[in-house]
Amino acid sequence: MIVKTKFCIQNRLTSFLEGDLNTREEAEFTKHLDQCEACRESLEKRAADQAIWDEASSFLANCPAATYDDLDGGSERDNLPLPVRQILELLAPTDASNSLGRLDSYEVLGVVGCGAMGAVLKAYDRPLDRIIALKVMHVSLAASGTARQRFAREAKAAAGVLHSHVVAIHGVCTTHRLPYLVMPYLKGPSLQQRITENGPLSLSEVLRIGSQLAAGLAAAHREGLIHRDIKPANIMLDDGVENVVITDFGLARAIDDATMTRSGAITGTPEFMSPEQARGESIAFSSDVFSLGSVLYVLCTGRSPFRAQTAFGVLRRITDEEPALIQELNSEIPSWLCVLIQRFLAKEPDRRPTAIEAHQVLQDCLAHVQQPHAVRLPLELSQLVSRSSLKKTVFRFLPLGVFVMTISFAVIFLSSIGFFGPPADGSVNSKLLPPLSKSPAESAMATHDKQAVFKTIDVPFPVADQVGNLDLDINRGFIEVEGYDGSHVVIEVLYPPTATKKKLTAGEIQQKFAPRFDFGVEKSTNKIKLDTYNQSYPLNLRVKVPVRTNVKLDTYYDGYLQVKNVVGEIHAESQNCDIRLLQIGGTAMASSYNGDMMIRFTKLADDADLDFESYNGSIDLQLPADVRATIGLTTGLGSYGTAFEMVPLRKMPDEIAQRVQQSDRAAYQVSTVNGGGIPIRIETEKGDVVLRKSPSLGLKPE
Amino acid sequence: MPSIPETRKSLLLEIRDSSNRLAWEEFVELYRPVIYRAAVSRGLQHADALDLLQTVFVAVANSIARWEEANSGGRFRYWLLRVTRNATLNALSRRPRDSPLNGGHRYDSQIDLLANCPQPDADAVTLIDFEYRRELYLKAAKQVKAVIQEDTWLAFELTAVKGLGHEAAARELGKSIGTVYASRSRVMKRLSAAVAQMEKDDRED
Repeated sequence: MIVKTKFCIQNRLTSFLEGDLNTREEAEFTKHLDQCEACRESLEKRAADQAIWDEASSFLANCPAATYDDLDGGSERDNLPLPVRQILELLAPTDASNSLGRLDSYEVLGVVGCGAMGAVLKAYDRPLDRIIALKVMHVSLAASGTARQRFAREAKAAAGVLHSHVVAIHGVCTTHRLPYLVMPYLKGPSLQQRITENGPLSLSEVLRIGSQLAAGLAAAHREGLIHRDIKPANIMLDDGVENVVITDFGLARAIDDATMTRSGAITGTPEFMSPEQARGESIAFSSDVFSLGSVLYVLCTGRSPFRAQTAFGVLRRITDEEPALIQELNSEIPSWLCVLIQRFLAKEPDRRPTAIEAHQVLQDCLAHVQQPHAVRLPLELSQLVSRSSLKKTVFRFLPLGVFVMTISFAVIFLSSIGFFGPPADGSVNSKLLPPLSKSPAESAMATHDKQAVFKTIDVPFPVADQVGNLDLDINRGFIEVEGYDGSHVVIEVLYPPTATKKKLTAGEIQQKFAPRFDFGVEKSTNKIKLDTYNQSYPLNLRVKVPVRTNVKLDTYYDGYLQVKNVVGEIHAESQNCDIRLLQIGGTAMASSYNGDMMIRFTKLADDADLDFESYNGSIDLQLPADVRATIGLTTGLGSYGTAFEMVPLRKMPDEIAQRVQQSDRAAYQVSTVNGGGIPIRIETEKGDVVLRKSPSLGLKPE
Repeated sequence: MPSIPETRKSLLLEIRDSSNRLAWEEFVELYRPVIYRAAVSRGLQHADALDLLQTVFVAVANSIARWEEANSGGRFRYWLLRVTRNATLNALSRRPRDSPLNGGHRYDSQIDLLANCPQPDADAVTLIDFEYRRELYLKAAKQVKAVIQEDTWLAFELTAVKGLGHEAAARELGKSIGTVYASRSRVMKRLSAAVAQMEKDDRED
């Protein structure tokens, strides 16, 4: 029914929307709308176009879950558990908005979680401008002197474990009323959350995660550290699920000291304890392997192996009973993995594999699962399976591929100086060197001539007239490459400096420090490749190559890269390390984060195209006379996210300005001054250097 | 977002003109979520999105002093919008290079970020514009909600946002159908006015 009345006049609509009607008029108008569909429609049109209505409804209805406001995440203090509130109350006041308080120089931004030992807080590290996690000891625990001492000792030991599957410890403070650890902020989820949400994992995920956990444990065990509390909640999935990180290393004992004064008083869940732990006996590394077995069991089945209503019941099951067969709970898990996990869960510690063995066998199993026809299941497992009453699995074995030849090396221990004599004087053109105070790159590099050789790899290379390619990629340590007039590549692997200091026997070094790497020659590309994995100690390499070799080097920290007397293409990349390219001719690219660079060319093609990037580091480039080359130079602030979390920044610039200055030596000195550091310097005698850079750097072609 | 307030404070010191300072603060407030959401919908992880956000704002703030030297007149906000949009486009269009150890991301120097993007990625442009408009609406909704009676707002929210029918909304609120129409239209009027005003503020000064 359409009732035409005096309200069906458009200016009423406008007056209403503008709020110009009085109360009585508004009431009348609203009443009219109850009846008049025409006016309803006109009113809506007048309020906004249909497109705006649509836009508003879609934007306001479908805002993504992670809206920005969610990130600010200030927790409601009152809803927090008491131990967390106690910690928060002891924080120093702050004037930063969004901060819950300050702990030394850290602005606490939120609460991540609360465990038996302490609370994990999310915090902003102002000096280094990054987000970190603080693990703060509970106030009640911090009151116990023994617990504090143990916390300090274990935290320091944990900080010594540098491994990609073990959470890094940036710092430890034990003097504060609230002792705390500084760690990278891992968003998670934890393995526990993953299992709770998604149930059991796939076979290859179980093996991959298991092998990573075992590798992390092995690294810690090498340092003499027992974790004591391996459980899914202490294992974080970083980067999706590709990388697992073990957290809370060695901290469990600190709680024991404070809480286990009476026998039988146990904090937290005992479900992942080893039998010897459950009995309260002294434990060894093998205890962690048992817990690893329990974790793998959960990953396969979605439930923990020893379950009971009470903590006491759980303990009794751990010590006395065998868990339910995995295959009964998840028939998709192959027999050999069930057998392997059973070995981890052996009641007698001596019958369990070590973490290193566990890592190796899990890795081999993973390779088998990924390439069942090419890689055989580890022999001991197939034997175990055939011995056990479980159903047998048939394996096929095919020979490995033929393109990659793996070299087994003769291991030579030389007690004194390495293969090479002292390096020749690298300071060609040194007269041209400006009165630059000693180059940071120079001073940062110690000489390692006295370092003894651990292994020598000698490979004929290159083939005939082909140019050889050398590709070395290590995580820690230095690489020195030097060209010589010969046809072999000789790689000397040097003792880690700490090994030589401790005067261990060769056998002990082999066992304790043996650098682990993959080495291979790809014949088709005439390429030598060396990659490291799980590297806890610096791997120092001294390499001799034919002069005409393309060299690609990469290191991450604890070292430097040096290339000398090489004519091929050079590609050097590093984070946190200095790069030195000396007496080189040819093309070069170098990039370094947090490292200085020193580059000396002997000759340079006219069309040479060079590229050097250094973030938070200086570039010192010296060119031969009369060159015309295109040079890209970059320095300045890098990104300061995850890449820098392992080491402190050299200096965080607080200002960026540019300056181009003509020096009195007819050279161009170009620098970007970032809070008083990070110079770029280019020197030519009468050079004709074209600088190609973004206009904001202020460099101009000359 | 924790590091931003700090950064914002220290970045403010770069800006000499106090009215510019105020404009910058307002601007950052508005644009932060836009960049964050754009980054996340481009597949960046939370931490990387925050990293990108930080990189963009540090780069932009550092260029403010230079802009102030060269320009004395207004249009600061418009300039900011342009520069920030550019920097975001650059940062989004560029693939982070992988790091050897932990797969962490690095971006190229922030200095490069401000350069005009030579071939703006059309998807990124659309994405930023889309997220920008969304933010205008979200902000406007917040403003309007704060000054209007709750029932009036609810009539709008239930029907326009939550997709409830008008009659169902009337029943739910215990109001007449006419009131629902009246209320939601009034909210919409204010909302669109607020959006238009904010847009105007950004485009001209």
